[in-house]
Amino acid sequence: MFKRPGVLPGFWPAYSYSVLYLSLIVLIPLSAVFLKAATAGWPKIWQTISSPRVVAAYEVSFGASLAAAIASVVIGFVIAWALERYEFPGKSFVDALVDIPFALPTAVAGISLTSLYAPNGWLGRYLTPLGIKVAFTPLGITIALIFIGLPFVVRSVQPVMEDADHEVEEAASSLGASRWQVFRRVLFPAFRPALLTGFALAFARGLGEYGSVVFISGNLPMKTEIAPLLIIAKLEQYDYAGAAAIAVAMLVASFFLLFLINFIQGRSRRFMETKLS
Amino acid sequence: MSATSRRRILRTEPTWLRRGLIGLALLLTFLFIVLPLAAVFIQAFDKGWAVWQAAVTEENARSAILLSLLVTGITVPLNVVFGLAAAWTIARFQFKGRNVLLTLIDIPFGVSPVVSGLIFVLVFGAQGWLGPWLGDHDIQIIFAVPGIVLATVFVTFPFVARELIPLMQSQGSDEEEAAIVLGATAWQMFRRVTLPNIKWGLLYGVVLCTARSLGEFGAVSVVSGHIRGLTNTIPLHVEILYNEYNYTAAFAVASLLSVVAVVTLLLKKVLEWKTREARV
Amino acid sequence: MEDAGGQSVSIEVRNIRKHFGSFEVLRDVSLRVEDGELFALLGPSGSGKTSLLRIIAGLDYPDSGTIHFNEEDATKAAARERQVGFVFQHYALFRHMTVFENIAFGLRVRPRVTRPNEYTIREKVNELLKLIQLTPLADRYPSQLSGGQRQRVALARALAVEPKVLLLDEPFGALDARVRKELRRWLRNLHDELHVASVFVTHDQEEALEVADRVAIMRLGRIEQTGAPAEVYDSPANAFVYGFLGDMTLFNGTFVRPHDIEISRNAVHGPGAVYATVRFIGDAGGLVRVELRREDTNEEIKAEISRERYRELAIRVGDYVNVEARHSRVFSE
Repeated sequence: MFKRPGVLPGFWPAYSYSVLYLSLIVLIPLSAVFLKAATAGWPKIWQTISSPRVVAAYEVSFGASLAAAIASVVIGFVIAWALERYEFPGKSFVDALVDIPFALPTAVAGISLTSLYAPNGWLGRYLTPLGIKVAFTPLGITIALIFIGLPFVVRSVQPVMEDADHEVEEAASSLGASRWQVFRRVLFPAFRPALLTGFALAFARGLGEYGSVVFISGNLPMKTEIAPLLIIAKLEQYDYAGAAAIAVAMLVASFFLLFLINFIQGRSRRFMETKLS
Repeated sequence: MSATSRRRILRTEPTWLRRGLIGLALLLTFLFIVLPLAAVFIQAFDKGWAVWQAAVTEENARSAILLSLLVTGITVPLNVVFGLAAAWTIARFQFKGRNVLLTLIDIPFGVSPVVSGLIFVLVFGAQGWLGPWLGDHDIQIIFAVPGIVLATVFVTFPFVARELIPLMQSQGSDEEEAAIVLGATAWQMFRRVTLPNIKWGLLYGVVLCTARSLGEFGAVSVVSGHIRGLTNTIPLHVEILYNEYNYTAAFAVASLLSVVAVVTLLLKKVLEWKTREARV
Repeated sequence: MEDAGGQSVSIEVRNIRKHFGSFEVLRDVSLRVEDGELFALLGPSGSGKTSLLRIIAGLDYPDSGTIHFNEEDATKAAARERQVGFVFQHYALFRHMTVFENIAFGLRVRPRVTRPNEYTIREKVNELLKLIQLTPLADRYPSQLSGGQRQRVALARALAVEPKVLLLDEPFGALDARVRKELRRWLRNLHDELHVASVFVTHDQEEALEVADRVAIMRLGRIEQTGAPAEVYDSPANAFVYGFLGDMTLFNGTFVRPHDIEISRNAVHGPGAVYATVRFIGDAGGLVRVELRREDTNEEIKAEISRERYRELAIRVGDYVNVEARHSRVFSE
């Protein structure tokens, strides 16, 4: 079973403990959702996840996550580019700030963003006269998800930018490429897998996000209700099977995304390796 | 260092573009990241120090803080032990199912917090698998502290392991083998060689795990039942205050969590620097 | 230091087999290292030499076969019970401990009953520091040392526990050429002083032949030949050993060392002599390398001649010369 059992002690205790812990905390509870959904039977599952309110919630979650992930990629790329390629005062401070959305509890982010973008809020009061409503609209959900998704993109792209081979860039310049051509043909293709990874991470996180969204979304059924909120609504009506059915649909979507991320990372790693050899 | 700075000069864009991009990056960082954080503190102290103090020392706030500390106090040690065991297994041995183990550790990152809470309701809730049995024996897990702990453990267990695995892999097992050949017992090896080598990474994992335990909202929200004074953690208390339009109090309590977040980031910078030192 | 490794032992490896997955690393390996001998395991990478060393140390376990220290079966003994000193290829110094504490480690982790007191530990470590000539650097950390210094600390750390046998994995592999030669001689002298059975792994034939009392040449998990340096060099068992221990060239269907190729301007006389043209002359270094092409078969021949002989012959590229071999060997594979 083992390639190199070697001399180091403690494999069996550590292995058994890890497997036991993961089984109790992850595997058994997770399988409960699938079983619960299954006990309700396919017709019931289908009925639940295809009801207009649930479909509307999926659309809101999916649309806002997609828009936010795209915006995060653009904004995150600019921030990562400035941090990795230029020197400016306070750079390492700004670099540390990028992690705030990771560290700030989602509920805190949620009430703060709502207060900023509410019609009488600091930003909302300037946007409302322009006819832009943010809080309690899908746009508000998107802004909350940009906040959540941004660090994923920056942190995915940064290491790749750092490792980028400067000589390739210089070689392209010396071959007569303009700066824009160097960017378009040499740099951007190298960053693309990392951007894609950041995009997928931000998107996956957005689909499931709850705390930062519930306050700013206003939770209007059919308009600004997100999928995780519906699970809570089902639970409050003691419709456990219904909650499980929605959860299963979400789990399948996010596992598919995780799989996709691994696939992209695996491919880009191979790409990097061939580049080295 | 000199080589990199020389390279930087060679590949620099025109000044106007460089300045423009730096300015844009700063503006975006301010707008999307700094402003939401600053808004918490400004609104927390909107009505003065006394109001802030009253909000965070009030009865329900105090019990929420105590509950959050209790949950964190149970969760973090559990996840430290798991993190060490999992990292030791994965970073030091080759075995079948190693990738499965790695994937399982990543699961909480891909699961919505609400679903993370739901799974425990489905196991331990009144209508759950173990619900009837637990009811007969008068054991309450959901809408009680054990449920909150379980949900928090689920959401936070990857942090320590994820921090330790790459660190231990990069360090390799030579030093531990050397200790064993020199006659050290398993415990002596762990205490004198493994632990000193990973201590900064471990500490960083603990910091992340602590911060997340204190701030977890979605998963805890599902299993807690929002019973004031009993099953309300700090973030849940913030939610209740906010929904009651008690904004200043909500931001006052939220400012506590924001301080934790800022301290986490500071420690991250320090510990990153320390681990980089340890990796050399 | 006469007490270090006081009761040295012989090592015997009997019919060791080992595979990782489907790859056979060691295929029925047996050898014996006598008490007090300095023994080299020589082979290209992938020959299984490091695996064999790790099995002797107890850092890995064989699939079958046995390890004996002084005729006593130690196959099942845990690494920490074997009392071997092991020097890792990349030294494996404890990065968070000073040089002093690194060397003291093996003494400090002993069970309370056999653990020396603090004074004895200090004495012992200071003695070892003197031996490796690093007394002034006792309080430095490994990251503050040069490669050669780290190597010596690793050796002192292994010697502190008074090992019965000393095992070294590519001891000079990570050092630059000059330090390498110095340390090589130093290790030989140290071994003569300690006289503990020592095995070192290397891929550098010059190193093995210069330092070791005896050498085992390994290939693909098998031992091809064992013997004293002069023995294996002068009477290699097969073409692999011959080629691995020195340069060789093919001449008239036999193997010849380039320095055994004789070049002359005379007409062909001997039975094996042929005509060839000079294709290349490399005249930097103690010997002059000459590459030739046979007129009849177009085969390439490599030769090495002394500078004197080169001047005497005054050959140039394109010259037409007479070539013959002084010694040659035929191997049946």
